[in-house]
Amino acid sequence: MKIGRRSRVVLGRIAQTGPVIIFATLIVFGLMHIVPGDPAVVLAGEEPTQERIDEIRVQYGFDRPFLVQYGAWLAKALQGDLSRSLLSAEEVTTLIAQNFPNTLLPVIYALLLSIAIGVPLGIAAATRSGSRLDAFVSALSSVGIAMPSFWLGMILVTWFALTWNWFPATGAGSLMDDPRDAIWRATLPALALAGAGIAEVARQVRSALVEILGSQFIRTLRAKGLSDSAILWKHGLKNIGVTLLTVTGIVFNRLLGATVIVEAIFAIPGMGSLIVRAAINKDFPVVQGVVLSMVIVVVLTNLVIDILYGLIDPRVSDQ
Amino acid sequence: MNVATAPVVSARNLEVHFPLRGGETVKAVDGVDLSVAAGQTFGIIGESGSGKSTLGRALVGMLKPTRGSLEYDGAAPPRRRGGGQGRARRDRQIIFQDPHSAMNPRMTILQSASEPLIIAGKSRRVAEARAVAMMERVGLEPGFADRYPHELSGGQKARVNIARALTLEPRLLVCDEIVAALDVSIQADMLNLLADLQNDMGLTYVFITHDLGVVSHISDWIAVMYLGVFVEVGPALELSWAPRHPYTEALLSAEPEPYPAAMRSQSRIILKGEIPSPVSPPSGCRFRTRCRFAKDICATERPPLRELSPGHLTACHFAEELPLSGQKRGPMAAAEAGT
Amino acid sequence: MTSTSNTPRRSRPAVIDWLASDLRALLTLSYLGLLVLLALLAPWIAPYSPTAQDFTAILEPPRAAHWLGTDDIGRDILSRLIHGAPASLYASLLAVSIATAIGAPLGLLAGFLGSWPDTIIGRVVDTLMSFPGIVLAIGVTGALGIGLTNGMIAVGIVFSPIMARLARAQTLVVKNELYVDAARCFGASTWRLLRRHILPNAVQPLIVQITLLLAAALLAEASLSFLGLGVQPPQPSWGGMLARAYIYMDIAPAQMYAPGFAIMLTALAFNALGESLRLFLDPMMKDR
Repeated sequence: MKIGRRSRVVLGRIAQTGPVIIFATLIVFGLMHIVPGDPAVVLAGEEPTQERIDEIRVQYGFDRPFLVQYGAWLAKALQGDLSRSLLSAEEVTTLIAQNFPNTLLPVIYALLLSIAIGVPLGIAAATRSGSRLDAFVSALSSVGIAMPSFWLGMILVTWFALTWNWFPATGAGSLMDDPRDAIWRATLPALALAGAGIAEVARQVRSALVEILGSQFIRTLRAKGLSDSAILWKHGLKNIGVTLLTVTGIVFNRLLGATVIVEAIFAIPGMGSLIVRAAINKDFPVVQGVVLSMVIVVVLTNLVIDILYGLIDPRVSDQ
Repeated sequence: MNVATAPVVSARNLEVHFPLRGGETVKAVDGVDLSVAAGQTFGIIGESGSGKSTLGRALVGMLKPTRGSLEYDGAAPPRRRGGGQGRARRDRQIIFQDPHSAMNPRMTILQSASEPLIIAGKSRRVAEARAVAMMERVGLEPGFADRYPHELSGGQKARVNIARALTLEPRLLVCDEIVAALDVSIQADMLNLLADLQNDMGLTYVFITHDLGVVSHISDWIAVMYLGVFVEVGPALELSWAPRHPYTEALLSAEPEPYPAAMRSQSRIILKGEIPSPVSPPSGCRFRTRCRFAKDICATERPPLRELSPGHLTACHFAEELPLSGQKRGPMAAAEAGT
Repeated sequence: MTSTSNTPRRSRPAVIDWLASDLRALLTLSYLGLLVLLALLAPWIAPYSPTAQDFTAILEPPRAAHWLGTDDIGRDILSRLIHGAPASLYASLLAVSIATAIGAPLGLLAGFLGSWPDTIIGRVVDTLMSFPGIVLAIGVTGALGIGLTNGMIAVGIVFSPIMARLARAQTLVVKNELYVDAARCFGASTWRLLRRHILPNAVQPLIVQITLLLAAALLAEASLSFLGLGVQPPQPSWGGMLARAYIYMDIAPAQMYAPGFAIMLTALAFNALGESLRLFLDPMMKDR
């Protein structure tokens, strides 16, 4: 029976995701239609002739009602056709496929760093609550969250790349061809992103752990004579699983946003550079493609996290 | 009871059921008849889970009855907006048990107390003046107007709640366990206040409580409620001296008497078991699972409320035969009982 | 709970007590106040015009004539910093105002009405939360055109789910309070319930969140301006100054510190103020 309930929870989560994705596609598609003025005129470029405008109108289907256009776009998207870039005429899906890995590598790298460094920091601060270490970690967290990632990136490049030459200043490697090189190149960007990530993870872990360690339950265990480290490992850490999941989701979302700018610093050919160039040049198909793919990644990640929630913490699943 | 004028409130077959997930319902109020004449105090007593609070809320219109009829002054409550619905709403007020939670923590006492009249359309000046007057009437010093609820004691807050409800001069006032949260020493003051107000303003009360000592003090009529129905209804004094239902007897025996055991007039009757769930009440007589006199017929046939003496009704198959003892107070009673 | 019929009225407003007891609140409010002042009085306070170029003094380190040095075309960095403040503050306020104006009412309604309005609003909120912030902002500027206002409107929309979720959670708690039932019993209209009872009691965590969002909006604006999608040159902005510093990073790395610190310090101040506010507002509720 338990398995049945868990499957139901999983299916429920998946079902809830459906409308979200549909709404998201609607928003992404609608992006093009909030353009002031006639999209056909905009697309026609400089000094358009009336023929060209009409041509574009038919070609893109602007003469059809909104929902019909949406449907057509959606149908093509589901088949993997996101149209072509207005600038380079390359297929948008190809561009995304080329650029996404370059974005994901530093992001995942940064996520791992955030957890690997943030969790021990949080634990250390929580177990020595009120001490100088705790204050130091809190201060560090505050600074980390307030610091713009790209500024941190610039500082890192200046010292670690330009001055000391430990890392390259720009570029991304290819994970397929030369993994070691790719990871090495991704280190500085990952560090720049991880600044905020470590801060957030440390803060949440500390906060959750302090609450647990101060609870009645733990005090009883202590009174029974259980040693501090035993308490920490057996009870404290087990219960921060949920917190860790939450914070992972939050940090991942944030990193995906922050990486867009950090890529500019390191000249990484990723989603960031793709969408910025497209935005400046009004290359709508690319803009839509990038936003859509990022949204889908976020939604899927959140779905996985939600499912993990439901499995780890039975209380959470009973909405 | 005065039959010339219609009762302030009368209910017929009132039911309030709450649906639960999974198709079942909580039968909080499961068929209640009652009638309260103007100027009277109708006490309703029962344990928690008896449905008395739900009944109280239904009487003032906070909850919609699932079945049955409610009439006020002989007429059904107006249905459509504007058809006097506002006035009707204000005519029936309820005072809640927790005086603290019933007040908005961000509003001053004066703001809370004058709110009903402001909603009723009075100007702020008039509303505040009346609120201040009423607060004095219930025994609060004038300095309270600008205080916030968290600065007052429980008793003071209870008085504010009473004052607030009375500014509307309601025809019917339901008091839902309003003295339960107060110190015993203040309870008496509060009850005396309520009695005075009733005399002065001609109020009609429905007084809900679990404390029989309290209710017999103040009520003209008492209804004993168990699991959604009335098991006994009668004049207050008569019901306390000579109960005609085993449940009433048990409630009475639980009242502490301030004398050493040897001098008490009766021994305590302890009911076995706990109150069953209102989702599935026992068949037949609902009280049978805890009744020391239960027989087979109690499980098969539900005893109706029948009149034993004028105005005194009880729902028990064996009401006439049962040797029930009521409350006899004092050492003289103990001597009488021959202990 | 004590009977306080003889307590003298408080002589000082609570805010003064708060500032006297919380150093962090005092410092952050002072800093932010100073910043607002600088922003408003920029043309009169800044030593130079932010666009005045001086090719005899490019990329100079800090000295008497230029306290923070000059940039690559001789403009005084301090003046540019001061003139950049209004844009950043305006941008943050704009984004957060939009986020609150959209999010708070939606959350309030969702929490109060429940059933299908709640579900629908919930789905929309979930959807918006799936858009990584900056990405949607960039997308919107791509469509509407580049510019600070457009970008911050997009950021505001992206932030609105946060306010909506918070407002909804608070409303759910408050609407079940007894005083709401009591008011309903007196005949209060839905509008009155929302305005007088639910909103005032639900608003505190929203205030804290607003300060935290101000920090996030500031960072967002800096990012957009850095990318060239926000404040357009030659109008000075902290993000824009960082972009310029980036170009000359190898020959004049010191350029990046002044604007970076300005951004970080201001975001830090907003965050710290939010934390102090949270502590300040909470005990008052605990007073019950």
